[in-house]
Amino acid sequence: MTSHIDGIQIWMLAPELSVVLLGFLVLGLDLITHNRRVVAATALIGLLIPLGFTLSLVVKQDALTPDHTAFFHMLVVDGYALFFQFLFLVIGFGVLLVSYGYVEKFLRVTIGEYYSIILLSLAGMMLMASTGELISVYISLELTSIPLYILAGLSRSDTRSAEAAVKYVLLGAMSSAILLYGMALLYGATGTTDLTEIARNTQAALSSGNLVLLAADVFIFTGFGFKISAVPFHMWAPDIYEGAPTPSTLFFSVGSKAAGFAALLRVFIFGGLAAISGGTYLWVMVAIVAAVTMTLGNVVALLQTNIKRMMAYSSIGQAGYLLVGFAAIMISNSPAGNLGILAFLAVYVVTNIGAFTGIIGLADATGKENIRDFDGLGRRAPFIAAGMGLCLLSLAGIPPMAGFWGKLFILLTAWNQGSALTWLVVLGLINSAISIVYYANVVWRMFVAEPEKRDRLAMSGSVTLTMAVAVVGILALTIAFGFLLTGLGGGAGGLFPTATTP
Amino acid sequence: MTIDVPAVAFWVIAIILVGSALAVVVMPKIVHAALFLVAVFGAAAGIYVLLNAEFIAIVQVLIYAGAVTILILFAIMLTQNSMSRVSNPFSGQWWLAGLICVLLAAGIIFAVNSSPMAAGAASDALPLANAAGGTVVKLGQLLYSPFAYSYVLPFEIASVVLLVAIVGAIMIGREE
Repeated sequence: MTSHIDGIQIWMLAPELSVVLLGFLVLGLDLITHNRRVVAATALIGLLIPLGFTLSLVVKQDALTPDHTAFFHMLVVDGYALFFQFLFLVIGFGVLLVSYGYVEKFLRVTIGEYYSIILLSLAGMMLMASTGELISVYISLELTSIPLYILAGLSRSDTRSAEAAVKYVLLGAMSSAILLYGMALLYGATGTTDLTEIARNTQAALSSGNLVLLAADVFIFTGFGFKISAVPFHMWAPDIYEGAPTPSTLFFSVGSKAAGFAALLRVFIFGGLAAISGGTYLWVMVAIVAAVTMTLGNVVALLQTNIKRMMAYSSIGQAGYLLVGFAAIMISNSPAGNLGILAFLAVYVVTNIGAFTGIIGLADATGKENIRDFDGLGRRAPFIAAGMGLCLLSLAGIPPMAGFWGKLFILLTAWNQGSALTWLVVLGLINSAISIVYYANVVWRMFVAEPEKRDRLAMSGSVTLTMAVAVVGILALTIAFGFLLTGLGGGAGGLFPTATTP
Repeated sequence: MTIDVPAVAFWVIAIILVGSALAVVVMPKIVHAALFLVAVFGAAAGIYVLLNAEFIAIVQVLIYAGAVTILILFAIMLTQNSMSRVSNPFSGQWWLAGLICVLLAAGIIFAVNSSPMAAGAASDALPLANAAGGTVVKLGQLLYSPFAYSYVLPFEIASVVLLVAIVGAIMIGREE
């Protein structure tokens, strides 16, 4: 089963490898040139190389190793991994582009340092989706997280930023420890760290009611629960979102969350842990966490006055909807819920980039970040306000925006699982209605409320360009949501190789 | 009556390990807590020896009991108020945390005792110790070998993690 490492296997690692090398290049380029534009252009254009490698892997899937694994089953390049690689590259492109002006104005680090940290974290995220072995999953998680701690503490003159970084390090280490405890128990119960082998062994242990597997499931879910900010492990999110520099906050809210879900689904489905839920009612735990996460996120978001704290609770609420899809997977062990999560994540990433671009634009121009500072932004910066409004309405799930279709599809999937999840779907609809209040409040302030100042705000080119890309992306997703589902079908189902063989 | 030496040694080391770990948490002075951490690392090295993992045990002593604790002590001494009477204070909710820990430990001990474990079973006769060339050669092969099953991918990712940590430390700690 194990063959030695050859060129094809290196090619399968090429997207991640090229992102890491690009990070090194950008870091080194900083020493040679002081021209910020050159460094930024190198990073942005350089991202096309990993993108090209990912696309080449998508097109040439037949040329890969027969089981689509490399490095002794530690790297798994299936449709699911390729989808997430593509998603993370989009995130990287958006974050690099939008942070260009902000870094110069507010952070005392060079653009090359900032970009290299983001790129290396991005490589960790891509690996989190495409590793099929517990040690690799964990070390990829650390490669993702350590740059995030650094990104949180970069505004060194701001005590809130330092506080955010310290809190993030401590809570991140705590959650990593819990995750590792779960992985150690899983290794103890199954005797292997290879997820494919684990899936085989857990299928065998299914009937014997192995309590260690159950404990491992709970620990691993808790460890990833921190990363995706599910209640009751969400306490870090508002403080860190508020204290960190805003482009870093954007990166946490899309990158960290998508990577957390990517690894959670990889371990639970590919590793066969979801399969033991039928007998043990583990889905009840997931459903309760989903319900509490949705409700707390959306209700507390109503009370916020700081836009970054509001977006933190909003992202907790969105994680709740995603967990509804995860509960649907746990109860049925079917790919439908997975498809819903992937589609929802794709839409969430694009809309959140757009919404945060508006926040970064305002912070860039005025240095303010309270919700009332958005009064009259529609007149002061019409294009940014219009784009941000569009993204907020999509996050709220107003038809016919892409966010509506994503939410509808995930709730429909849960509804189809029978009466056990009906209450969760109803709760999701109620929460959706609540969320309209605080999203629409910002839109109302931008376009109806009278501003204190009426002067036009000069938006930097990078912010305008990011917003244009996000708006085009969200409109394309809205129109082509059906195509998105068809295209993702293979990737979502491909994660279930073990589910069909009892 | 014969005495099972490894079993006796295990229980002695385990009691030292858990006792020192508790002391790290409850000692009111942070320096004392850091010194008990040395005992925790040393006892862990003892456990590794009992598992026939001599190389890991030596590395544990060299790196953790040696270098890491020295770094921790330096960090403590460079921090303000670290020498005060209660530098490692209790949280107001220590009783709740203690209760949760006891319940969690009881649950895990019950689960481990009542379920079959695949790793460490009697049939799993410590393959590393019997490998040709001893544990170090086998460990090296397990870490880097491109030809036989090896953890080369996570090993390489770990090297990038270290690089990120260095770059980040410089970015945050650098003088203006």
